[in-house]
Amino acid sequence: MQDQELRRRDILGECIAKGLLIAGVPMTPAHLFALYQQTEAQSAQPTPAEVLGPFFKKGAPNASRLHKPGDPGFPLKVVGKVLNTRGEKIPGARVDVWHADHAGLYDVQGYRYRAQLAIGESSEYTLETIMPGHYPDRPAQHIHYMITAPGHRTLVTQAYFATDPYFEGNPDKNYSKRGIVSNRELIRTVKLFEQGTARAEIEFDIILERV
Amino acid sequence: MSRSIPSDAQVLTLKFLDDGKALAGGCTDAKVRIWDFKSGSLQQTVAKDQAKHPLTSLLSRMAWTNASGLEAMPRMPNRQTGENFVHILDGSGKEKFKLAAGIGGISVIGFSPDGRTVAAGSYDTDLRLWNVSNGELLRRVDELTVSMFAMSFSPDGKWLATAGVDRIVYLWDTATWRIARKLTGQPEMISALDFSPDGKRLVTGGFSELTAGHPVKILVWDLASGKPTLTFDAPRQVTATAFSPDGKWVAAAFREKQIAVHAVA
Repeated sequence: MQDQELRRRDILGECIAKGLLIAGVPMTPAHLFALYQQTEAQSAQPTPAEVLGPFFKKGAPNASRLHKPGDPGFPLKVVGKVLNTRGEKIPGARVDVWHADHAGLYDVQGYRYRAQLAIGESSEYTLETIMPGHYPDRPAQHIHYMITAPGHRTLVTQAYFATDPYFEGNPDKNYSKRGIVSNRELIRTVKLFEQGTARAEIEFDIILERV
Repeated sequence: MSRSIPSDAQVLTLKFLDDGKALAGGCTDAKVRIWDFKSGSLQQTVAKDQAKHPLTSLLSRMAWTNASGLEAMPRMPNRQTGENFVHILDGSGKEKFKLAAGIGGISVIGFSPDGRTVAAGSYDTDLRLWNVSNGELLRRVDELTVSMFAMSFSPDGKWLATAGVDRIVYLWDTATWRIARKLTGQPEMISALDFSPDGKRLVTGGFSELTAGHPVKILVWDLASGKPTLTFDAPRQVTATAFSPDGKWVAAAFREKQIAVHAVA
């Protein structure tokens, strides 16, 4: 890894020396070098994809509160941002989310636990819902996502919970059990809050790739 | 009257052969078994690499048409992009067209009876129709809000029946690709569908929202009234249904080591 980084430095130096990388606005060669290297280092991989599954439903409401008062289930908040691979905000994204109820069943007749969020300039989103149950044929708790944004590749993915009994307290070891979860990165740490009642929270930023 | 045909492997797909004298089933061990329909005795077991059309389509999710000898094969080459393609292959296996078909996987695919049109439903809930002679997208139908799991063209090609998550059978007019009728009454999601040979009836098989292992119903519908006329029990998700060519029987597979056969005349 360190060798690769050294080699990248050399190549970058070569590029500047040969005029293959030039400054678009006035800056010193040292600044050009540093800025390029820094920006490249910040670029992130797009969020890993997951299967769409059979229960996506078009036309869900633009509402960040998915549950109703008195719904059974562990209260859950999901917060996140929609970013590009350089970590910049992507305004104008649409985020479809859908998940099973506390018993693991999807509402296929209506739009319970389904939303299509229109994300504004802030590129941030919040969901207030309950912890999904275990759908018996796919027994890891998950929230489905489909994210579209102008100029970016549509991403279909899922968020999982590190506390899920399915991972037996060891998501690093057990995430790939039965081939259900494609990538450890999609399993999120659960934060617990107490504000009158308990509420779980996960962060799920979404990184989209440019097309 | 009902009977069952025993199988030594679980059966997933079904097709009547030889004017209904034989019934072929694609099994979970990647072999096609062919039974004498009347006696229920096993005639032949065909391994995947030995299978020829139309048996090959019983072992994969591709479609084949004897009208033009073409194959339609769904593919998702890259999991990260999730993009679906339908490859149209000629009789020698040479690719004619690679058709972009939405995202998330192809849930169902089939040819029109004249072999000129291929229809594919995607888990993004859209239905796409292509002219297979030039690869032209004839229509992207985006009216459905949920996925379809099963489709069947009427034998005269005038109707396409689709059904899936919302328990409704949609009858599409293939001249306009508008919904002509909706049939409701299946108590579960619908995962299998077949027109009768005279085009006057339909058979549908259920898929419980609870799990694939929950019991469901098989319904036979009269299209004149739009009502189910016969109901049979199935022990778990129905993966395939087929009318016999004389219209007197319906066979159903449900991932078990037997095929159910019901008299429907």
